[in-house]
Amino acid sequence: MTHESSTPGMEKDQQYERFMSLFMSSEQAIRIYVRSLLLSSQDVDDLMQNIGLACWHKFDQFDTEGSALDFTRWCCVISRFEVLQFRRSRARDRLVLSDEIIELLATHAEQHLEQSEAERRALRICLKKLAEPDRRLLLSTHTKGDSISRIASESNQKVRRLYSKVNIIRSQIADCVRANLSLGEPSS
Amino acid sequence: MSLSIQSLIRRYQDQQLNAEEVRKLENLLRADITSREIFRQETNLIATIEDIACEQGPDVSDAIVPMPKHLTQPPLVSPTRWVMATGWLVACIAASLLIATFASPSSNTTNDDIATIMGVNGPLQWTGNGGQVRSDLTVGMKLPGGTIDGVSPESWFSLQFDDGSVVVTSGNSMLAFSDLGQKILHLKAGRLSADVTPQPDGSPMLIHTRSAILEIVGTSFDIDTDLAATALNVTEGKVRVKRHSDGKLVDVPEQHQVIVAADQDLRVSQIPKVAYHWRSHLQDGPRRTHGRWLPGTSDQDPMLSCLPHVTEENKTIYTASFKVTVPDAAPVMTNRGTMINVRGRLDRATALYVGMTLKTTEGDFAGRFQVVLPSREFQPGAAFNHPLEIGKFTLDPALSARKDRFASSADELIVESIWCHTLYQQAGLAITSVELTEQSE
Repeated sequence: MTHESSTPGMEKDQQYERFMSLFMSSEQAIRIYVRSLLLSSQDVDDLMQNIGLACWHKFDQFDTEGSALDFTRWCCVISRFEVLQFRRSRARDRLVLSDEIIELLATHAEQHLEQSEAERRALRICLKKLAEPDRRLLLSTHTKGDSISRIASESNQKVRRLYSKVNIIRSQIADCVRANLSLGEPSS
Repeated sequence: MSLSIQSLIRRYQDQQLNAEEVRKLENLLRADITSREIFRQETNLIATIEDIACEQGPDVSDAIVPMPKHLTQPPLVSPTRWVMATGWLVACIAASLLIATFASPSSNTTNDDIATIMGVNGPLQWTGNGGQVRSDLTVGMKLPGGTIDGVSPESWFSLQFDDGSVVVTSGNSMLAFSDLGQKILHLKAGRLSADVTPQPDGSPMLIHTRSAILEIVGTSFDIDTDLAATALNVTEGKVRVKRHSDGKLVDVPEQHQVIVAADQDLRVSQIPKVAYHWRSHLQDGPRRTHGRWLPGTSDQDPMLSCLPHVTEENKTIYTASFKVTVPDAAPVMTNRGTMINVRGRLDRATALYVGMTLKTTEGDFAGRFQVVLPSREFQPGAAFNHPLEIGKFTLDPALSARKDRFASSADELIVESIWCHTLYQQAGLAITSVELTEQSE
């Protein structure tokens, strides 16, 4: 018995599997890249599905020899256009940066994908080093069911003071990330 | 400039900017690649924090403060992220069990304890093997091993193993230590001094850095390590050093030093004599500084602006510092004629603290000595230049309760670092140069 050459359907399946494998490993980097160009994570949630589909529809244009980083960079370029389109489709009900600036920021972010990834790894390490109350405070503004007001009422502290503390913690974390990176690749 | 851009970016992300501020932010981002880089870093930070908060699950705070649970609510995150969140919760439960199982540092000795804290200063964090993190370290506390992080330039930590060997870390540093019949230390960053009692035959103390392994039988020495190199000064005894890159070994005798780096000869040389002059070199970059380094421009010198830091007394200070004595150069000493000259600028008139972290010629911490310059000596937005006599420096009041352990004056000591800070509010302090000179009689 001889093996039949793969059918177009099988090829498509293999291509889809390869796409999914690449996309899942790049998803966080793409998501954060998109988040850097939009003002809220809710917008990112709304857009990520479109980006996934757009990347899949164009996947046959992606160099089959390309690395995972090439794929991330390629998806970011596609995402950039999706972001611009998304911004235009939304009512300009809030103050946002112009398309020209978003393009500049997108180009800069695409050139520093590896650096951003290293920063994210370092940030996770730095976050573990924070005292638990500080960590909770920092995450509270982004955690469903938690908030600075809630922490303020639990701890009998002023909301305003906690907001300024969040700012200080952000700076500490940013310093920690820089320090980690200046020492080389962080390891967990 | 970087602080204002940082503040604009954060307020933009929090949707708090007005139209004029958005235009200002746009102008900065259009004109300057550094601003775009700060924007990338800030948004990467915020987005990652959001992601981590999301991974922790939709109601993580319930794990901390008992509240009615909403388990019937559908997940508010995508399936992939929900899987991650579920995994995270499982990991959290496992971690909690581990933390509950492992011994925590205490004032009581347990079988696991291997060393005692002999001195602490400035913000420090200990991470135990179970993942427990504590920052309330006190003298006399026993530790079962783990990692000590010095999280600011003024951090200092002294640890005595049960056999009497003492190791001291200072400044921003990270040291992991264990003793399961053989003392094994990993100095991941920073500066370490040690006085090691004779170790058991066949079990020398081992110190791993990124570039070398040091084998110590019993001696006194200093190490300063970063990503690319390890500098070792041996004051007493002998240390055997193995370079990671090629496995080459050298013995470093007392009063000798070596720099271990892949791209340099492994050459042992005599420790240089002391120096009484030193000056910062910000034009060469931010190496051996703590602060936000800003390169020079056509009309402005390079400068080191301050970074905020919360002290253990919950005060926020804005600080910048310079390492002065480094193992690959002569130790810098003070004498009665020493002058410290600080140049820089303050955006707002406020009291300026200028200080030195000092050690004895034997390598022991000798205290932090400082001068407080009152706000009336500064003009907002103007450059300042303050020569300070060594006799004006007094022991940091935070150390006064233990003043008998420290030097009585700041002269005749080795200058480990020089730092400047303002208290409570960002006053736009930026240092352009620091110089240590000897006043002619």
